[in-house]
Amino acid sequence: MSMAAPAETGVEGFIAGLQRCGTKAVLDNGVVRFTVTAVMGAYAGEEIETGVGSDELGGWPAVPPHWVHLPAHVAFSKTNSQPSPIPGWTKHSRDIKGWGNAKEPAQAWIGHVRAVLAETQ
Amino acid sequence: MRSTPTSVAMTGSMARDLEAHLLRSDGQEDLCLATYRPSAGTRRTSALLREFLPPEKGEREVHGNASFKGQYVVRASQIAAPSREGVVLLHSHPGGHGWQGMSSCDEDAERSYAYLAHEMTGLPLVGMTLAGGDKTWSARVWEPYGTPRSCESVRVVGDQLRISWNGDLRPRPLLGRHQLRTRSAWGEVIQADIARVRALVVGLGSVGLEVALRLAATGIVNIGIMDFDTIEEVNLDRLVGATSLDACLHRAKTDVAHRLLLEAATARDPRIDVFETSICEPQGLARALNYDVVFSCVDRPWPRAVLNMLAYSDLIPVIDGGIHIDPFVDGGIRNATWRSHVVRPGRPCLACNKQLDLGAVSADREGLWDDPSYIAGFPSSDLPARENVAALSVGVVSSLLTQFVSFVVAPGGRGDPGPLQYVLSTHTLGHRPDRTMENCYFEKSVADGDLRLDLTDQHAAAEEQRALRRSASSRFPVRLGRMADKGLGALRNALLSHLHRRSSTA
Repeated sequence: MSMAAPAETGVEGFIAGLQRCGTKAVLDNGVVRFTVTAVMGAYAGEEIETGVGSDELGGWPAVPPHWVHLPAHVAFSKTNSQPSPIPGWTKHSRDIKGWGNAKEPAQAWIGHVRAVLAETQ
Repeated sequence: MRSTPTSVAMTGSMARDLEAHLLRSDGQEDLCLATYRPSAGTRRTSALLREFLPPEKGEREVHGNASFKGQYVVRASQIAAPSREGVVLLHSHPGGHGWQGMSSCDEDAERSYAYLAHEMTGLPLVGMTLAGGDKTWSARVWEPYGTPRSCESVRVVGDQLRISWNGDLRPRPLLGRHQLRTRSAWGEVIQADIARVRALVVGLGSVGLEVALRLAATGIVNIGIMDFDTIEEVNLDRLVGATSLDACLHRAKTDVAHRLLLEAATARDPRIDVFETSICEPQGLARALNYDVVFSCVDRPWPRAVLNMLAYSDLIPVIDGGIHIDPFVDGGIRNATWRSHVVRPGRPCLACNKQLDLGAVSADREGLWDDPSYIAGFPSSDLPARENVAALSVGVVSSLLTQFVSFVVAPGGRGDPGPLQYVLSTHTLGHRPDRTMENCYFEKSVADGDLRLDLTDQHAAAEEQRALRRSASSRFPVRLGRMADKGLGALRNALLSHLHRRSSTA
């Protein structure tokens, strides 16, 4: 039997998970902001700021978010996007596939963001 | 009062552990303690057993009867309280059969610890008895100052859904002539048990409506039907019994289903509860918690995720299924497959058996699949499939209902068969090899009850549909049409009800 400790779920759980992965995150304008290092694509090797809307984290970690928030300069040849609450940022529609079996869900999300960044050219 | 349990539920593995401890080979009574977490619906609160706490050395003595030390209750309360759990005191009546009353000794023992357990945990003490003769469980809840209140049922969710009924609070329904053939198939005892199961059908499309009708015809007394949608002309090729008049009068799917279920019902006093809501809304989930079993007849990821959680966190098994039709682009059909499965502790969840894409839930929750500007950004091949054929969807209906019968009746002593798949092109029915994923969050949420991860929220599409129906009902032609239709329907229902009562036997 389990009891989900408060820090394992929701916004707090997401931030705590990122911290376990060595990534510091802050809540800004309703978006949890953090940095990932791109491994492929136009920004390979660079640290890129990214974020997740806190309104999408109510079901974390059972249900992952949908939108990947990125600064507007991170552009894609093809994307379905909307404005982010953070000025100068855009959120991109990207479902994560195969969710549900990561030992550390935050690490799986970081991997997802890296895969999205790999699309940049 | 919401957290005062009126029912108890446990997993099959918990029941096995408790039975192994309480039913001794030397035939003496025994006792033990466990913890529980409440799961509060709008009408029923269930105590969900979470942790079995066997007695440690010196905490209990067996001497024909069994007695225990107060320290045992203190230890259990200390374990329960930090997890917001209550305490359950269980004992056995080795030769007993059926729902058990309490001897004065039993009553004194439970009463004397009711206050202590409540003080230490904030939740009432639950007392349970296991009848060794037929493994019937009985349960009651103790107010802090020592008044016991009998529970209505105890549910064991294992390979079979085994429900012990308190006959005083939920007596066997009277059987009628209508049910003669059903009774002759499995006898009056099984008919009485299956008729008392509270079943909720979520989603009243081609599959859900037909499932609900068959449950009503089988004699199930309490059926809930949940859907927020409105009948439209495009539904009529699949919703058998819905008419153009229903579409014209902007009828809710639940209203049409209610009408059809009352006509199909063979129970003497059927109770059909109508919920014009989504299971994704908090009030939808709260109502679902009143039921013993839920049929999932929805195809969107969000409601399926909510039901997937419910099956584990609240020990309410979900019988789910669906159809996938694979058409050729230029006409014709390559294949169709339909699946069915009981989702419950001990079986893979919907995500583990690949029937729920968790990555698609947030987009559905946000209403993106109902947003034309969002959908315009995708090629049509990436959009959700909508193909359906009434002649094939009945295959899913059949599959769901056979899962239900296997699960509740257990023909030949075997319960639910696990995930099944029928392949139309090869005409083969087979078991699916799906297994639980190691880190599945849903399957680790067993008996979380009211501390479950809440996946519900406001549901814009449901609110919009209800508002549109309210608006339509204010138009004079719709009002007049509904009034005339309602009058005719009421007359017909009164005649049917009269006939049912006449045909019923005591």
